[in-house]
Amino acid sequence: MIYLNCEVKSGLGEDTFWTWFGREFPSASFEVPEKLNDEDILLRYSTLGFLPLEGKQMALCWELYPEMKEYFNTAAFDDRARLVDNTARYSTYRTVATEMTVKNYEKYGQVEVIPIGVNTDLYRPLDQKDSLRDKYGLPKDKKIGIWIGTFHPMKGVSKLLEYAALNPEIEWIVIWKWEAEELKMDNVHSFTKIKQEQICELLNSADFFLSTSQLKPYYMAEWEAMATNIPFVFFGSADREFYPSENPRDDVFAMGWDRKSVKKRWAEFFRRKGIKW
Amino acid sequence: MVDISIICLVYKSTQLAEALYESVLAHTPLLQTGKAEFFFVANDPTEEVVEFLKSKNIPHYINKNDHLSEEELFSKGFAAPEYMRRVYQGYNYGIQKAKGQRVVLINSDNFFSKDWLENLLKYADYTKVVSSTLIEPGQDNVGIFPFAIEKNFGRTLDDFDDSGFQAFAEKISKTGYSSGGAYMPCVLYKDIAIMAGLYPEGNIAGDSFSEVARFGDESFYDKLAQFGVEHITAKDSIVYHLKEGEKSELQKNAKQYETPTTEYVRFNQRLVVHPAKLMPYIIPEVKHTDVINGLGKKVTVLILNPTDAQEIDQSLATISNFSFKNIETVLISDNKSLTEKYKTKLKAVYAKKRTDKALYDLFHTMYGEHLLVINNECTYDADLLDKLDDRSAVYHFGPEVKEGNLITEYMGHFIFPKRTLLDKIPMFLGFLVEKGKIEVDFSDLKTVNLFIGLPDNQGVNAPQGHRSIPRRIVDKARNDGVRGLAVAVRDKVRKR
Repeated sequence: MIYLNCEVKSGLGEDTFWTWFGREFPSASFEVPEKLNDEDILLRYSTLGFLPLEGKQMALCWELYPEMKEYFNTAAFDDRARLVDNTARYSTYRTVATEMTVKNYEKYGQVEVIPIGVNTDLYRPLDQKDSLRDKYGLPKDKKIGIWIGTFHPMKGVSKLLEYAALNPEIEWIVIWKWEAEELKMDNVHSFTKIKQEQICELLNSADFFLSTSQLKPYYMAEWEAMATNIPFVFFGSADREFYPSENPRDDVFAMGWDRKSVKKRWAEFFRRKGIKW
Repeated sequence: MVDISIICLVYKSTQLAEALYESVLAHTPLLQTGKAEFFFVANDPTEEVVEFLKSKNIPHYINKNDHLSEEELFSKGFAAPEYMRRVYQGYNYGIQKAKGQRVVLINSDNFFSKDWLENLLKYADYTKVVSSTLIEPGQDNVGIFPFAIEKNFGRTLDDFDDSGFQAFAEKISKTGYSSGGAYMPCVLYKDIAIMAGLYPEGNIAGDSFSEVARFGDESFYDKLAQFGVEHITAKDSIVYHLKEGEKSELQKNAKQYETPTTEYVRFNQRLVVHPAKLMPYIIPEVKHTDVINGLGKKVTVLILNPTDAQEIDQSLATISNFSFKNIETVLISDNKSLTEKYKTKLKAVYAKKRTDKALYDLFHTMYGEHLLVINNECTYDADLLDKLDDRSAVYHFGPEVKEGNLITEYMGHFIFPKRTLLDKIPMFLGFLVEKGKIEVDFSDLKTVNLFIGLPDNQGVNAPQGHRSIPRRIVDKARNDGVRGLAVAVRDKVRKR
């Protein structure tokens, strides 16, 4: 039995790692276990803290608090970071999404690098730019950039504004998480709480993806953008762990970030650890 | 800065030393970071061993011990074999040479798996000595250590199957611990080890040199326990134990390495150290304590020699009624058809005329940190097991009240901690099989009264003063120790 303990399974009804994992490993349960048998495992989101229960436990250490602490030079994330650290310390195994963050937890033992996984069936090149621009009321004769994020400082929203000011001829698609964040500007088309299919369509409507992230690892929206094969432009961002090639979608597959590869990784991991599912 | 010192003894086997060193290097990344150091104590080594260590640039200290005669050893209170004194002296020497605050003691015939050290450190604090889970091949002439897992990945260096062992270790490793365990590999704090007087310089003698009253490592752990240091075994630190020591390697014309005897401070039993439950500076962080206590909340419920399936079903119904679910259910029965019938529902052990052996094994390998021997004559509240929060206390929850130190009660109205069961194995082997009420004296155990339950069936197995075999076992064990008890049993058998 695989137990999945998450903070939020799907906040906006989107297909997350958790909902996908639940489909791919149908015997998985979202309950907090009261006992773990030898062939069971608990995948626990590390910000929940360690569950003091004997058995095989995997800490999912996807949050980038150590990187945020280093970049912003603040203690604001310390409490959450300690919680994550504690989960990583006591769990039997720990996983991160990229090689870059292995160093944060290797003092507690082996760290498995297993990507979170992008839905490459959903996020893909559509080759319908004109019709999609019609659909969303976007001009066909202008260069359009797309930016996806929140007001969280690590997303670099100020760099978006700076880049937009430097390039006034560009129209913008900006996808926010919350309505309160929506930016009111003449050349910005804001979208909030939209479906993943619409995000894919908007990515396919744009000419480039503007990346302003202040952290080295890519965040999920960037991986999803890469899967649509949109060109990337970097502005004011930190040094990234890698830079996409001319065909970013190929990079997604090459780096094993597609869900099929990720499922194989998990299945192999479970086999090695004697987990039944 | 070195925080952890890994110490191993070697005296004659260069092959074993090389294999061990390679295994430690391969599975101990903390050595690369500089947080840990490793060194051999070349203990009364041969010239070949010293030459080997030097040529390979393997960190080591050389320790020479004086050899005492059997008479001299016995006069100091030590028993056979003679070499054990030098082995313990070697480890004591290593502990004192350690640069780290924490020392990890390992055997020269150990092989390591991923995370073996990190997972020892996971549970370690000043109040713990944490051992690894041993995998042993189960040699015919030696058997396996009671806490070890038997799985044969080779009995000698030549036939050791490392990849098979690594794959097995990956599968069985899990977060958690169990009270008790093997004595090495282990991690403990250097200053605590020294304050506890280090290892005695040999096995503790009984009435003669050949009679071992207590093995040296047992005695050392007893002293640690007096300091409030608990011995636990990490279930995710997996180490293979060939169990051949350095005895298999052929030594032709092996010459002892000659060097002046090393001077070092000796700690022995004359050193007076006042035990303290908890020293002011050894209090672990609260969050860590919470995790350790949380991981210890697990119970084994035993259905012991039931008369029929109905009794088992009734017990299972009681168990399923408990709100606490982290329970292992074990059936020990001399009825093979019953164990066959229930083997998919619980852990079933067929023990024809060997209940004592099955109980002995259970004490060592049980999942729970507390044991309840369920008795259908007794009353169990649904939230009973939720109340267990002390891994050193015997819980009593029956209706009987004490008269002085004595209480006449069903064993099913007690819940026993694993630690106590292991400390007093002979006593509990006698007690737990009793289904009726028996007169017991647990005044020397830490006892917690949970509640006075509802009156049970009156008149069933009323107090019987003459049911005194268990009582006599208790008195004997308390007054004369386990050895005294064993002698008494032997005399009784001879008389018959």
